[in-house]
Amino acid sequence: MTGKLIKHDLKACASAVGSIYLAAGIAVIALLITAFLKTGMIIKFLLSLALIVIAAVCLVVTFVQVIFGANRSLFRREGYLTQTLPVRTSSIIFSKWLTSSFWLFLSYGLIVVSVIGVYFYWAVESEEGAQMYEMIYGFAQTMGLGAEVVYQKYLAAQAFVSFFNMIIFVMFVLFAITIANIRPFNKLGGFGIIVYLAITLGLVQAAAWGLSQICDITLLISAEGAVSMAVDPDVIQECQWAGGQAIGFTGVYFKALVTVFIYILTVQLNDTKINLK
Amino acid sequence: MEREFAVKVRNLTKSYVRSHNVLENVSFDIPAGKIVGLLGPNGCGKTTLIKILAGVIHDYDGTILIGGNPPGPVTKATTAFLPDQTYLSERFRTVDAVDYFNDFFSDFDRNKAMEFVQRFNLDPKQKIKTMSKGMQEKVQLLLVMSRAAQLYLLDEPLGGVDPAAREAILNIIMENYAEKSTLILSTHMVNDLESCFDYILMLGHGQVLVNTGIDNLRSTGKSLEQIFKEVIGNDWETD
Repeated sequence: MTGKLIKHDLKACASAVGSIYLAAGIAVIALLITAFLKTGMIIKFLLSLALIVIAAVCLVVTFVQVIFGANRSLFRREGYLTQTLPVRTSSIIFSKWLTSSFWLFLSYGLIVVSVIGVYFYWAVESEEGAQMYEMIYGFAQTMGLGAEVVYQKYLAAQAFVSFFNMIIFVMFVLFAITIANIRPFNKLGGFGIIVYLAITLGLVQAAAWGLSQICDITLLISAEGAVSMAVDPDVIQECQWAGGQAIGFTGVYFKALVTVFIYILTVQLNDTKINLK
Repeated sequence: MEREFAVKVRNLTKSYVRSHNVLENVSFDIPAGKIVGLLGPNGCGKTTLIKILAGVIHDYDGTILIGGNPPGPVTKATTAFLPDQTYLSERFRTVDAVDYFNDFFSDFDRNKAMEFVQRFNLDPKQKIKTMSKGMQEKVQLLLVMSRAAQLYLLDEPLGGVDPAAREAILNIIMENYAEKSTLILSTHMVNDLESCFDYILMLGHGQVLVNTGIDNLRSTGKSLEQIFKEVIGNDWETD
């Protein structure tokens, strides 16, 4: 049954954002065509700008769809169908979590790929493009980034943290939507979702920061590219002085635990407190 | 032999605001295999009760058993619910809604549903959002009546419908609900439906005022409407 829920939830979001992805695809094809044809620079510039704008719109629309689509399908008119399906509440919430994370990650990936793709498109087009990459890398090295392998692993680690933060963000959204639909918190209406989301994120972020001051679990990337975890400030500092990089992970672990707790709480609240109007 | 009950309710209390209980410590049993008329004036808790049985209201006190189970995935697999509002996704076409029900409900008969689509002159590929309210209600009705459920919960299925359509909808309900199942139908149309009911459950002032077979009521020599006017007094409104 969970598989069927996931299938239908994926379709639901696809119907809302599919046309934007189609527009992005058309812009990509048009840009690739201009790479082979002798079109003017203005057309290429406009197409590049259009692609990035479309990708940004896609991210915003997906974000809005995640919030209001989940609210509509759980607690508004479509909730009369969702909440009467012969499936456990935990499956319903998990399906929403998984599919919303997927679409949000996809739209985030689209904007990242669009920006990088446009950059390399222009790098191929102009001689300064390749030199630009060397300039950026050189600047990063003066900022202490170190060897290229460190640079690559650092980017990979940051990408993982971004992906992870996106997943927990979606769970917090579902929690905020649930809170905004139960007594006595339902007096703010749809605006309450934003309020409770901001409160939840703020509290968790503050707690994560506080914990990191007590115990700073850090991901270390040594100058040779070796990856390890450390809590000793001296070890962390030594790694950075030697040309390595450090990324705080206390918040990541804490948020992972909080997210599991929030998921359980969201399911429990849905099971006991919901009143569909 | 112990009588079989489709629904058992014990000490059910439900309020939306602290100062007023819509249902107050209500207890009753609904025998299995009956067509139950759920009657009462506006605001007496009919829709609330149906929503609790359907599992879309979880915030209440008391105990509910449907076929021996509390409202949940087990009961939802055998309970067909028709609310008094449109609940299908606007992105659905008629055939998408049919396929959705077919995916989740093992008692759903897809062929029967598509026969209904033809019978109602509905376009299977028309989107719900482009349909009139009446057409949307037909789609929802056919989805529910294409299930061989053990319990049907129909909340005001005849509300806001013209008399000709009313009769057609009633015929569809009576002809297609699964044999030996229980059907709970909330309505104000006492006159039109009196002959259909086996059992009457009447609510008022947060309480169960009448909970008996229709034969017991008929033995008084009065019509259903007369009895309920006496019971409810000035709160009663009929069409």
